[in-house]
Amino acid sequence: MRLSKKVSLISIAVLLLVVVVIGTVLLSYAKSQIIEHTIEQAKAEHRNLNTSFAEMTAYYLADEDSPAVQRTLVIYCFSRFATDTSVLIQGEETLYARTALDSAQLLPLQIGEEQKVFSGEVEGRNILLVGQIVSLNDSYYSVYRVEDITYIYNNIQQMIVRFILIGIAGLFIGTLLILLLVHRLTKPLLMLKEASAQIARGDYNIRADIHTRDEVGELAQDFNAMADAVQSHIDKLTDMNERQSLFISGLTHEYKTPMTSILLHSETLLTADLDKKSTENSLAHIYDQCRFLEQLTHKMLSLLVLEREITPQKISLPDLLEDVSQNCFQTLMDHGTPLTIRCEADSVTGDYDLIKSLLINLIDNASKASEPGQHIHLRAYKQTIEVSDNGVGIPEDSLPFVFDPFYMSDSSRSKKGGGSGLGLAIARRIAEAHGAELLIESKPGEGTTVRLIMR
Amino acid sequence: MSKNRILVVEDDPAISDGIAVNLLYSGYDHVLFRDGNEAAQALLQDHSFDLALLDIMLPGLDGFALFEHVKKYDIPVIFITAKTDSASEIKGLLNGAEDYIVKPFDVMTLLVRIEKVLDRAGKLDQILRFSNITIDLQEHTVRRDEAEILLKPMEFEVLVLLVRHKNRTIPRDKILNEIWGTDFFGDTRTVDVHIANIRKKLGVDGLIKTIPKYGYRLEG
Repeated sequence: MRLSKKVSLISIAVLLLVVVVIGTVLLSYAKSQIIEHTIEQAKAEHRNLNTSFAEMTAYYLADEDSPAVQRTLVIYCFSRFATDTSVLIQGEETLYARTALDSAQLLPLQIGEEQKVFSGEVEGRNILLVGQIVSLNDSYYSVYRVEDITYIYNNIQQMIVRFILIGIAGLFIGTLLILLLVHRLTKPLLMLKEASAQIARGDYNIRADIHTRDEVGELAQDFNAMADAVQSHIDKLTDMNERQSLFISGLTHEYKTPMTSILLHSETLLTADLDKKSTENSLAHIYDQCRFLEQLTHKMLSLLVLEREITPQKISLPDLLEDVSQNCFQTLMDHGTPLTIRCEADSVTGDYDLIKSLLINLIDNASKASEPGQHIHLRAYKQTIEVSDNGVGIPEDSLPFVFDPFYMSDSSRSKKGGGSGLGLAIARRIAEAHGAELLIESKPGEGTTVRLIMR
Repeated sequence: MSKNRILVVEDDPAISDGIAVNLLYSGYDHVLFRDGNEAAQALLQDHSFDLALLDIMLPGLDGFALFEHVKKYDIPVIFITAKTDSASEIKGLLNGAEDYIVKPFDVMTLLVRIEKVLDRAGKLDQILRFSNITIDLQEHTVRRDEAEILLKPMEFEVLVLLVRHKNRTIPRDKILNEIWGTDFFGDTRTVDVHIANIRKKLGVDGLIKTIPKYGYRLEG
């Protein structure tokens, strides 16, 4: 069963129970109070009537001896105080009565008794009967007060009906309020449920939009924090996956072109009788492409090796720059692009061979981008080593991708320069391994600057 | 019929050299470009080609864009692509290219595709001659001098393949794939049996050479 249903049903049941119990207790208490009060009042009034009647009768009878006169005087005195409810009986004779009820039979009185009360149903009516013996001149009179209190019972009946109606209305309103309240309280839970279901379906952007200040609100906050963590983790994995698949598709493409020409030329050599010149040409192509594949494999390996931690050491910058320029000498001579060196710092911390190979790579790139005669600048200052050229530059829309493996700004991936598209990817890996930054700045036609900023 | 003239646009020098040497060897004339733009410019002057082989990824103008220029002169096109994704293949074919080849491809595949396209365009000789043997492709007949030699359909196909690629060794599995198709469940023994029958029926020994462990070759 749903929580909201459970809570609603239990609350409504409790409300019903409370209304019924309180109603029953209150009504029975009110009923007994009303009836008791009526009886007490009737008794008091009856007592007053008897007292007044007795006093007056005593006053008038003082000088009378004649029984007939006495009887008349008694009736006269009684009638002065009597109401429609009063009955006066002497012995067997009813002296005064406005009601047909036989009071003496309903409530027989004994001499010496106090006031007596009868309350009950007589001929379909609720009757309240109060009786008292009054003694006058040695005679005893039974004085009754006969009251029809059916109307009080009717009133009580009406009261009960009204209470039940009010109770039902109260229950109805109470139920509505409970349902509303339960809905409001469980709505955040439903939202959480929906959000987690959506996340489970793979929609990791979903968050629970709950800002209540109760436990549910706290739960929602924790839930959102969890979703954030899951999303960032998933994003990282997706990103890694994407990079990996890009890398593999790049690698596949990189292998495909040399493989195609090796297969093509070797099959041709195997199946056709080419002349000597064509044969040598085909063999040269096979050799070149195999060399290219070998270099590619070597670079791939160095990318993998860079997954390891490096051991930093203090590197003297003048020595490093000198060493790098020695290494690049032949390439730079071939391209006709001289290198100028400016060293304005003493040392950096890092892996000597890796930093060296990174710089050689950058100078190689700069040389390829330059026309013969254009200078390449290698400069070290503070914690920065910078390689800049005045060559062709890189289009702006290509800049974000230059560090991606196998990326070449020319879509045909022509290998005029003989590059593999891995150089800058390896350079970035080397920088990452040092915790260093590798920044590139370029304008087409003006040149490119790459900065390695050490920690 | 004169030699068929083929336009080749491929930027990788090793691959274009490989294609060129084979076209030459198989008796085709060719014109080679390594840049899409240059090829498009040249087409304005000279467009008497029987077929165009276009790489997709080209500097200047890519293969699809270049195709729009080639189409104007009703030159059938075979795309050469390194992209294995079917999207680019379908795009090329829907635009009216005759065929496509995915890198890496082998020489026989390339040559057979070229022949099929040229054949569809009616630009292949229907009479093949080799030594004293004449093959009529339309009438499906083979004659040695004047005498007709009766070959079964598959034997005829194998002979045509060998004659078309004379002086070139054709691997057994290639023959099997080209004639019987890749869905055929037989093995290369089928090829050997058919070659033996052709040899017997032609009655000329040493015409079809066996290259051990590799295939067959028609020499002359």
